Amino acid sequence: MITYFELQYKRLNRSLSAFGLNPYLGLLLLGAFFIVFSKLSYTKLLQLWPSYAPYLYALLPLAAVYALGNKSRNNFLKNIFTPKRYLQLRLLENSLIALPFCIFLMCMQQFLPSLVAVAGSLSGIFIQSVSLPTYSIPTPFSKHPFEFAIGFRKTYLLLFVLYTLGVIGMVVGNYNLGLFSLFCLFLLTMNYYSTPEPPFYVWIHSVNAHQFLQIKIKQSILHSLILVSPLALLLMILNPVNAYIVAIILVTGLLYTVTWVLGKYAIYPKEADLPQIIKMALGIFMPPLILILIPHFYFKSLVRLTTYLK
Amino acid sequence: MITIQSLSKFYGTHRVLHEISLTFNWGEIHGIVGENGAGKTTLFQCVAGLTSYSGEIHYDRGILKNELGYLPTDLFFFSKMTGMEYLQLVCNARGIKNNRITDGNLFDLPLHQYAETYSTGMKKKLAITGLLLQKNEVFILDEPFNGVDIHSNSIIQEILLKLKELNKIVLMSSHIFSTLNDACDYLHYLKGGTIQQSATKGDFASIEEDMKQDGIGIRVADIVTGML
Repeated sequence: MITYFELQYKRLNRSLSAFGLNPYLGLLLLGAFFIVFSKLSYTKLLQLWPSYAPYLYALLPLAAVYALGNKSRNNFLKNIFTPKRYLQLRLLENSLIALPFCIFLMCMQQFLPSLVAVAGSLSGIFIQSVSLPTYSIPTPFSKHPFEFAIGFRKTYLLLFVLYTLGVIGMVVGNYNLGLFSLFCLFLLTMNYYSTPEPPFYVWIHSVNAHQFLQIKIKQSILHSLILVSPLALLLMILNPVNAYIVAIILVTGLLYTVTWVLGKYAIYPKEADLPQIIKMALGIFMPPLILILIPHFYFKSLVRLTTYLK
Repeated sequence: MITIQSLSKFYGTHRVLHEISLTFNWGEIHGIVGENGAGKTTLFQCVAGLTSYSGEIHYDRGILKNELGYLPTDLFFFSKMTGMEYLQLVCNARGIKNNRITDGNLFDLPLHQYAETYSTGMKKKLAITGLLLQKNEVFILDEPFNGVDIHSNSIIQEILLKLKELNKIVLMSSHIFSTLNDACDYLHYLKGGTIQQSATKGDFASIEEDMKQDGIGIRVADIVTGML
């Protein structure tokens, strides 16, 4: 069992190295990120629901524990360990996940919620992700797979929440909430381009790199518009005086999306490492930079894709 | 016709393929055999243009990769993508406007289910269907019979013969010698990164014998006894 945890530690270090970080620095940053995240989320929860905040925070490790309930992963573990060892391993694994949350709650003098965090995480060993259904969720993007068709299915609940927020914003006269939802919709759809596909899925195209990028850019713009335009149109119709703000968000959002598409292929087939993420994030926080980033990523993408496309 | 001349491939300093020269004519089915790690998949990837190499690959009808259907051993399907969408994707990639994809569903696959829920054999059949819908001229099939049931096995055999009849080039590998016997016109034995022997139909037994001889030197029983 010790070997198993040593292996997980090695895997974490390798992931951090692949991300472009020294593993020790990466672990330090992860710790710092956890403290900042905990502080912010705890404070926010206290503002919203003062009485329940510690208990709600105590439920956060459940999200991580749920990921460990992956069926094939657990089948593998059951296969290689004895039932007793498997149970010990899962209990220890879930305890390790609960530990930082538990320490944070204790620092906040919340002893009972810290016990809830541990108990909740330990009970997580009974959670196992459900098998995929035999039916599929319909999407408007099936004729041109794959990014939006898959992304839509993975995030349809979030899309529903964002649309609901946008509509609530309009009903209660909070126009900014509507604009915020529109902006978040773009952030969500950009995420559909975050993971590089295996080279086979690029190689199958009978076009050159330049044409391939044109197709990808055109599709990303068209599909983004299909997804955001109902909300954008509602916002424009209900408040025509401020329609120009919606237009600005639309143009900026589409430019962000194009940057994201090109950013993915600029380092293809590798996943985005730290320097690349910094470049892409700079584009978001300083929109004028996009005008430099788009051609920069475009030419780098051409070089990368020429390996697979003739 | 595809002509391979002096093809070599290195991973770092490790030589995987060395000075391979082969010719594949239209209407021929070629089988590549060899032990695990002999370089079969690497050779296929070189021909497909999925990896770099030194040497020459000449194709007499333009850009090879645009008319080539490649069935890899390890198939990857995106999560939350249906079988139908996979077929749509591979058709779109080749600019093929096909509104009747379901007509080409020769293995009766549940195309509206997510491909990731398919069994190993069903995934293979889906990938083969995709290659046929793409209207390729050249086919590279890496272990096409792995994981498929007996019925589908005979369908694949039939497909191979039909491809030959349609004057396509097929290059395939298999560890099941009988499947190669039935389908191939030529067999090439890849060992240590070089072609050790090539045989025409009727002479495949000599390659099978050579491969068995090569395996005899391994003291399997001793090693297993030591392990247990």
